[in-house]
Amino acid sequence: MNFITAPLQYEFFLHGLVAASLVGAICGLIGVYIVLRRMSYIGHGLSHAVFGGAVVSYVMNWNFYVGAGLWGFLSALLINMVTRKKKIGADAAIGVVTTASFAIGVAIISQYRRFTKNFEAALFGNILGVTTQDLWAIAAVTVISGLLIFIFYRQFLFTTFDAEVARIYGVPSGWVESLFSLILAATIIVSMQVMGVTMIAAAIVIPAVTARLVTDSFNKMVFLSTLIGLVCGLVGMYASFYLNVSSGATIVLVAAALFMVGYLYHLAKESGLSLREVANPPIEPAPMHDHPHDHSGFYHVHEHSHSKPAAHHKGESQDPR
Amino acid sequence: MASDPDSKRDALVSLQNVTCGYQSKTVFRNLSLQIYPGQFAGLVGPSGTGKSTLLKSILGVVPILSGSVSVSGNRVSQQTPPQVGYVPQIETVDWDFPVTVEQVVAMGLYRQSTRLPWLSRSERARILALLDQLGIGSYAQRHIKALSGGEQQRVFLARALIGNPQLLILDEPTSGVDLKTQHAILHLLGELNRSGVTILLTTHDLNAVARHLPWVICFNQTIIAQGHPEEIFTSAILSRTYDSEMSVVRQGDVILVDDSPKAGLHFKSHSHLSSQGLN
Repeated sequence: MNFITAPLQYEFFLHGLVAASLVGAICGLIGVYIVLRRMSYIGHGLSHAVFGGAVVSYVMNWNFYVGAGLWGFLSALLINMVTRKKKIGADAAIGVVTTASFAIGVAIISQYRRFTKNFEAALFGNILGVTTQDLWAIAAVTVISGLLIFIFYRQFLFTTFDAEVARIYGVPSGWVESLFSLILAATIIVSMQVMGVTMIAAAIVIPAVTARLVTDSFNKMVFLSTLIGLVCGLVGMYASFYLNVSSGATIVLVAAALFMVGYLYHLAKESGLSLREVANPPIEPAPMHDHPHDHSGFYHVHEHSHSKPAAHHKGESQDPR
Repeated sequence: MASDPDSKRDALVSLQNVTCGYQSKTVFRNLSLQIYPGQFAGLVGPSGTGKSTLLKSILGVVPILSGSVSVSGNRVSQQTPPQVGYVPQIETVDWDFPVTVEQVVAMGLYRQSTRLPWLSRSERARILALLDQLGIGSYAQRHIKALSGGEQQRVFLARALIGNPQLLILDEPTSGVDLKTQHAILHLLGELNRSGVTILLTTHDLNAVARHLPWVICFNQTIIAQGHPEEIFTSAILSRTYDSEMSVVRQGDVILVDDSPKAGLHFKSHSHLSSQGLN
């Protein structure tokens, strides 16, 4: 028990623990939508883009959260816009927009070498430096993003499943995409201090893909991915404290270990299914038929593939042949 | 016939001199078409000639460069009219997406739903009743990938029907499924049409159209002809529609279209060889 409580006496650890848990949870939640849109690379790209914004904010003496936030949001919108041109895939759009933005940051740093050290923290994360102001920012983004995803749950689900058809069914897809870009940019900005630019992508993607491996239900995937992110933040922080290793790295390594567990579970489940199929081969499906039934509904037509003989279909069972 | 166009009534869908296209490319020009309440019509024609764009113009999701499209007398402009249900090609669906049958059908309730993430008891009951009517009630909690092709098509049909549409638009509902399932789907659509839903679909399966659909529109960037299949499915009309030689065989009430490829290129090169005395 002392193992858990001992580090809590240090304020920096307590701050870090709360920050890592919240960042883990929100990254896990956002990650579901990123992974299902097959845009896993966007976390990696956008964190690099935001780095450019952070450097520009510093030089211009703007508030970090406002400057980097605006920069990140505009980058996400630009990626969405370029992606809509079907000639350019999402991966290429992310590659162009975000590396250009990152390059701006690197170029400015090389001109003003005096603050290089500050940006090492942004690149690799510095959980020891999480201030009370950072904590409030992280908590605000987590609560607001969580609430927005809760309120617009159906819209986010439909646009993630099929944005074009969602629009036909009345979902304001363009507006939903912009809102999502805003949430994503805000999440990445508040995660930079904890995870570092280089590790954010993993914190977004790994919990979601791990959850996807163990469930086929969207609701469960959302819940599991958020939980996995939170657990990785907590366990990763303790591992970082006891092993004296960078917190961003330990959080990601814990997530990777959980991914391996999820992957093994998935393999076991699949091979279990195949073994069962070998032991009990499926019964030859009954032939399909498309005759109207008269026992329920006004357009009750079946195209069955029952594994059992469909005895209730009188026409078939009484066929003398 | 139930879905003969009843031109005494106002058209449910009306396209007046519509020109449609994307950016610099015009897909069709000055097209006029009326779909009347209760019609069950199939749009046939070669790929890339604007069938899907025509459907999308009614759905309000493609730019209309000139002319007007109206549904139930209301002009369509960048928004799908609420009285239209849409079933996309099932080949465009991401089958690995983690959603159940119930969740997919619930998407169709968007316009009428509460804003809560979970389904209300009445929404759930409504979905289950519809799935039961379509014969897939026991699959509500299954992942969409775990169903057969015909069952999957019915899930997306249920999503379109849950909003009680007056008009159902289907983009190639018979593609990617076996022959028996094709007939089952068209039979089901016929039943739906008899219950009062107007249906407009695109398909490449001419023989299924001849067998199941009472009205056919031959389309190749413009309307070549429209009417009952027995009047429209002639070698001359289909050859004009497909820019290729097409044979039609009739035996009693049965119409059989030989839709094996006799592409224009082959036909032309054949004539070319003949003209050179090499054949």
